[in-house]
Amino acid sequence: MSAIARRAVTAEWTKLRSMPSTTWTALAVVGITVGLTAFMASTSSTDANQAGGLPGDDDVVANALFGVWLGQVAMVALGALAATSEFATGTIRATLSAIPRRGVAFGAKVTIVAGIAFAIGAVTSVASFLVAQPLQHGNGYNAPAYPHVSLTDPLVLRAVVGTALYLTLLALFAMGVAAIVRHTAAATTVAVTLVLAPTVVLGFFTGTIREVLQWLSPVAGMSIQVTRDRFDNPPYGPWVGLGLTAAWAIGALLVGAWLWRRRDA
Amino acid sequence: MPRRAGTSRALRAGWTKFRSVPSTTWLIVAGIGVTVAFGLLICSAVDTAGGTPGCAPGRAGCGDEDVVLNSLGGAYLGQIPIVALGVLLATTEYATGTIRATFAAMPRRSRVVIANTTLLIGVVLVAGVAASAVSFLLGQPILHGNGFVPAQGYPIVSITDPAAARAILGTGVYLALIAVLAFGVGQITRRAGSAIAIVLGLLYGPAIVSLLLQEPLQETVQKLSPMMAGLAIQSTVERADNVPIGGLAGLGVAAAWAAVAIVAASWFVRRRDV
Repeated sequence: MSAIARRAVTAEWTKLRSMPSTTWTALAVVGITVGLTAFMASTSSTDANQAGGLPGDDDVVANALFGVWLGQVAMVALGALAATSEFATGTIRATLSAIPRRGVAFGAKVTIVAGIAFAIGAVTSVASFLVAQPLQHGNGYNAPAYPHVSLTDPLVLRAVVGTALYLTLLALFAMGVAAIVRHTAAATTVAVTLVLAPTVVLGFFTGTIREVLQWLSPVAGMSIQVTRDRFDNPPYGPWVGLGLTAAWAIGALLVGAWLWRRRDA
Repeated sequence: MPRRAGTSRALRAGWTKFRSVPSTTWLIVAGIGVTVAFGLLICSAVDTAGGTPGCAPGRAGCGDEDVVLNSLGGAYLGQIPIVALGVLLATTEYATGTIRATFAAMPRRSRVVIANTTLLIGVVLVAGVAASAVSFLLGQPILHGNGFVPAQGYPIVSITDPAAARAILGTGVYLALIAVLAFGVGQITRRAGSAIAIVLGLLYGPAIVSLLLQEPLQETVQKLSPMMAGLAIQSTVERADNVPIGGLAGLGVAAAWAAVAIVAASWFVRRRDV
């Protein structure tokens, strides 16, 4: 890393960590995820099966990370704010005067957001998994149907680390969207809609359109949490799903970086 | 002698600001456009095969697809620009600083909240009823083409049928209530980004959570959710996946959320400096 890039990264780190919104959104990601997971785990039971579900096919690992479905909203807000707040306040002009090579400035922001998001994501998913375990055991998720799992099992590790990666990709996706629209309200609306709405409107569709929607949804990466065959699993494997989310993040960042270099601040 | 700044003047001032901001028009157009477009997509995608299990397709009274609900389902996405509209109506004045001029002119701050709420309800109600009426009228022929005809057990539904009319008007009322909820949250957070994230989370979150929840909690969450309960007014057919609440009661739940947001907003507006 060149000296200027290193200094750009340091500058971005100072800015991001000194913004109160970063702390608030980070706390919201952890709090909402762990809280919702704990609620779901403490109210779960082994006997009730959803429509079409087989007895004993609950995915205890995916359920222990379920809170991410809502916690991700705060992560999206964090990513969007990291890119737009400088445009709202006008400090972006100082930033780009100090670092006229815009690609370097944008790259520094992406690096810092990725690092922070992964750290928050890792804390979130490990905490969520650990909190859920005893609650699930207490509700009857025990051997033989449900042998206990631990953080070091390969499938669990894939789900937990994968969830942290997934949250990182979502923050970067939101950041890319925000770099494109440069307006917090618009960026949050677009990014939050894309992570929440597809799952909700999926219920209207069957067959091909349903499958197309599942392939196109930025939340495809949630499939990294799957550790069991179930009727409601998405039509792709865990890593393919995470790859789909990565494609959204990379696509948004590339367009965002291109516009970032072309437009006046 | 200058007249006192009463609620009617607050309303007129609010209306001038409301209609002179370009984003307002765009968001309303987007709300109508997304509602209609997504409703038509649902109508083109749905087929008669999804009837009650074990029921021979084509037998009269056998299919349980809800042709009214399907043609109005666009509101599930069309509400997003309406949420943005409500939030921005509150937060833009804080972002630009005009809120200080507004409150200097209207020192009784809750009047500003009430005037804006009234405006939002009026505008979104009209736009929402228009959007759902158009969705319904354009959606029905598409559904007929997809086999939803009397011979397949689906009588033709007209916009004047009480159940259909109730669903269309109810969807408009729902959208107006959601706009008010968004406005209230916007007044509380004063930040567009966080307010939009909170409101969309509040609307869609329970729907996602209820996919995994088991009874009886699932029913409770659905009944308390502003979106799931509020849009129950669109149901005109008994179905296993209906939200277990009556249409009007469901709108009552959405109204309660909106009312709580507005009461909290009025309280915060009076207590905090701008």
